[in-house]
Amino acid sequence: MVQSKNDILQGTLALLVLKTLARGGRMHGYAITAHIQRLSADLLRVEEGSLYPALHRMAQQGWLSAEWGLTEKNRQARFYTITKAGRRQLQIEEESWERLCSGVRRVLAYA
Amino acid sequence: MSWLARLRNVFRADEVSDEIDREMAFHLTERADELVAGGASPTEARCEAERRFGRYLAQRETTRERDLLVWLETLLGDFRYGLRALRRSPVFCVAAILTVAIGIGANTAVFTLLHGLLLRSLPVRNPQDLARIGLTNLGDGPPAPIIPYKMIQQLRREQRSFVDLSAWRQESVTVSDRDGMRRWHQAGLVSGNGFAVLGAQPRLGRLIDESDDVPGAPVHGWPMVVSDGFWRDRFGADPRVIGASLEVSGMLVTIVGVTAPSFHGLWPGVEPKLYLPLQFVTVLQGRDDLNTPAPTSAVWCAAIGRLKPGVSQADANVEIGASQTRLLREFTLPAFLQNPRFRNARLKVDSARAGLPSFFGLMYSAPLFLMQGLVAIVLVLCCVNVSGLMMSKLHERRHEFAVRTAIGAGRARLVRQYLAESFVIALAGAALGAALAWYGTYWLVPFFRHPNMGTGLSLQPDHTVFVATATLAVATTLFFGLWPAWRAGASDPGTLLKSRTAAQRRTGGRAFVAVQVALSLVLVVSATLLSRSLVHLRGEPTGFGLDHVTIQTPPFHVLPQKGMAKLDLYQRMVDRVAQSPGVRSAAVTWFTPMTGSQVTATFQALADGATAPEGVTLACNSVGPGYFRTMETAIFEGREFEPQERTGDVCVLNQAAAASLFPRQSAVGRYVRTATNLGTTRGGDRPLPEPVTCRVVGLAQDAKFANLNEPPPRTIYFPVTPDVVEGNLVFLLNGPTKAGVIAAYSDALREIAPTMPLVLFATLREQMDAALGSQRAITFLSSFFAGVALLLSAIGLYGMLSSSVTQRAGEIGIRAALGASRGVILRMVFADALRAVGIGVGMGTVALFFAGGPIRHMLYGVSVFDLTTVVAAAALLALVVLTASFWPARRAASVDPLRAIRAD
Repeated sequence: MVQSKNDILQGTLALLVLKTLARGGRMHGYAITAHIQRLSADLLRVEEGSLYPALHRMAQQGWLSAEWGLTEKNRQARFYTITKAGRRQLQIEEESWERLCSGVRRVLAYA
Repeated sequence: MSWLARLRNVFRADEVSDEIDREMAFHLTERADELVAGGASPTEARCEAERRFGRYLAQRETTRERDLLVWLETLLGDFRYGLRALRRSPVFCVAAILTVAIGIGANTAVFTLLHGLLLRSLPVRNPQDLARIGLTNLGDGPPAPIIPYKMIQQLRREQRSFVDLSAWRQESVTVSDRDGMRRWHQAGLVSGNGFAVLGAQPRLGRLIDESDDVPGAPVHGWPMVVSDGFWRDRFGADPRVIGASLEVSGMLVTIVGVTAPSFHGLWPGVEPKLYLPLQFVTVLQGRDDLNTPAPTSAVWCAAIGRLKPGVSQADANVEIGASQTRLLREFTLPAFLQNPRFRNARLKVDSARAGLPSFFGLMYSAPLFLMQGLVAIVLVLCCVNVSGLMMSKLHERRHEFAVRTAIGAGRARLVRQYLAESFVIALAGAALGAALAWYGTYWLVPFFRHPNMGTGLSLQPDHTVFVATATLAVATTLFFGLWPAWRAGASDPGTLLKSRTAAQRRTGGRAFVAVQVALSLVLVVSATLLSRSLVHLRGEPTGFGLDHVTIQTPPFHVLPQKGMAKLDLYQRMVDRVAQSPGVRSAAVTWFTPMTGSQVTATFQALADGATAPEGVTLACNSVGPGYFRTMETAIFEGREFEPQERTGDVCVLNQAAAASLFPRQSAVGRYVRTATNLGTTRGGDRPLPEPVTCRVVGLAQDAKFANLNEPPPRTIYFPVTPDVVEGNLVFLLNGPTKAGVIAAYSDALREIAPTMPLVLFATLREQMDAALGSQRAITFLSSFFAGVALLLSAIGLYGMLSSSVTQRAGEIGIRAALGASRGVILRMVFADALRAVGIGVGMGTVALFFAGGPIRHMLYGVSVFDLTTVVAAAALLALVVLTASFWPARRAASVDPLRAIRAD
């Protein structure tokens, strides 16, 4: 499987989704994709097909709660909100991301 | 994803995939809208949106993979595959399923007995709150589950630990059956509050209550509750039975209710057919010992009560313990506490969750636990065998696994498929095992009889027990299937496909065979020891004739005659029967041998010269004239009793008693005196003869008494006296055929006591078999399983060697090509087999050392560590496995070197 270079690094999707929802409140899947793309100035692109399984998994793990609702265009969409457990998970993922980044920076600096 | 979530998904599988589909559809529409807003045509937009979505269908599959339904689908596929694989090798399949079935069936059948007798809770509300009060600390004897009835009444008034306390008693009563014949049945006698304390509910009508349990019968006569089983058997489950009358031990009673079908009484293994008020005991005994003004009463009962909420058994023990000295002094005869055995008796509160201790529970718990141990070994053996079989099978199929790994099967999937095969075998085995257990239980139950030839054990196969055993077996099979499965997954396709001989040597197979041989050795040795014990028990001289003596115990106690008149009646019967041509001789006795019960008392010798100064404990019996002739017990000196001797001032000693009372001198003509005036009984509560001084008139051959597995006790015989005759005497009838004896007895009875029923006739041989019931059952079972174990070991070894020969075909071929003779190759294979056997025998001997303890008390006349038996068993095992290795060895010897080498 060849990944395009701006696909999201595996494992960071959850972090980005949690962060987005922590800021944005109640959002549907499409809005989450759009939000991540806009904030990253199109540097990051969510692999759209993998987003929904990921959202389902996160909902089942209790990080997100989901419910069906209507968009402004009166379309049926599934809206996600972050839960308390999700916020805890977000903190864990942010910390581990920081560790990863600082580790990579050190290697790049001294290698 | 968690298993739980997956499981949730299976119930809303459609919902989940629907949701994902709808979500994705929404996403595509939004994306297309955006693209259209940016200037694209709707078709282009749709295409672009789908492209951006990535591999839409592939993603859909990944998403759906998360469904248990899909997971189950593949699992079902694995099962189908497993079934197909099993169908391809039917011999392996049948062997494995039969093996599992034998393991599960045997364990369920034996555990049903064990559970029913010792572990099952009473089917009443909160059985864990039930507690009983009994006597403990009775010298070397077992605790007594009964206390005086009047003590129960007093406790009921003063105790604070129990909500209420009730009295229960077991009695034998005669009831006329449908064919008009009167037979003995077990009845439960219960104080008025008994059923209320249990919280039991009737199926029909009502149960015994306080208004029924009054002295001298309630106004409307004695009421009776019948068991559900009796109601079906005797009355065809007719609901109009309420209000009907029935004659019980000569007294008309009215049926007022039927117990619930789940209620089998308080005595595990004994199911009373009838329940009557406790006061009915005065009818059965023909005298009122219950309502006498004195605080002591000859009627003892089991006391069972329900603890108050928050009161523990220990609390109740403390309360009862505080007043026990006073209670025992007040409610027992002074002689009771003077008896050395009862001097330190204490009241003790025990759990009655599983009911009251019953004869069967006391008598058969040790043999049953031993039996359970044996069948547990069989279960382990079966699992090892199946696992070994699967290992061999796996080896044959390694090519297939290699190919499948090469074309991309994951390890997990291979393991899963292999486990599915184990599971199919386990399930089929469990189903067959259930059938075996069902018949096995019915086959086993008749072995566990009351030695008095009374009712057999009453137990039903239990579903909960089956579920427990089957779960265990399926779990073990899967567990044992896991290792071969894991190895199956480890196949390296490259190596395997390249060469068949390059595969690494298996050592697992040999370990399996060694374990099987070890377990088989334990089973074979146990079976041999038990069989030899049974041969000893059955073959050892008993001191009486077994085949010509028939026993009959009619309920003469309900007849109006008492004392001397009763004795005359018995004597008339004996004389009349003895006149018949079909009878050689007849007599009456108080006790018959091999019933597990005997009375003992301490005696002193009165003699000038050398006598034992201290008392000697002797077993006592009261026997009528002609007893020794009828029993075929020899009189060595003096004579036996004569018809006019009806007092306790003469006695006959057996050799053992004479030798200990009068060492080095003749006993006949000397005097013996009772040292204490109260004897102790084992298994019964019959009164003892009055204290006496008596003259020894005869010296009899030693004979066994209560138990066959004890040497003949020192015994003293007295004539039957009027006070002994208060209870029932047993007729002993000696004749060449049982039928002739029965005919003669029936004629005499019709003439002399026409109202008396005929009850079960049994020869002493039959009584012996009943007494040896559990011994016989365990011997048959262990012999059967020893045979199964030998067969399993042979199969295991055959499988191991077969696959080892196939595996080493190349090596053997090279050896043959280099000039190894047939003999060398044969020796090589046999050596392989013998090594496994050697290791197994070593392990088995060590295991025997630990297994020796539990089996010891079931043995008679042989030692646990009997070297001959162990050597013989090992030799037998070696013979069996060598026979099993003959075919693989021959195959190895006939390997064609050219073809074997070319195959690589």
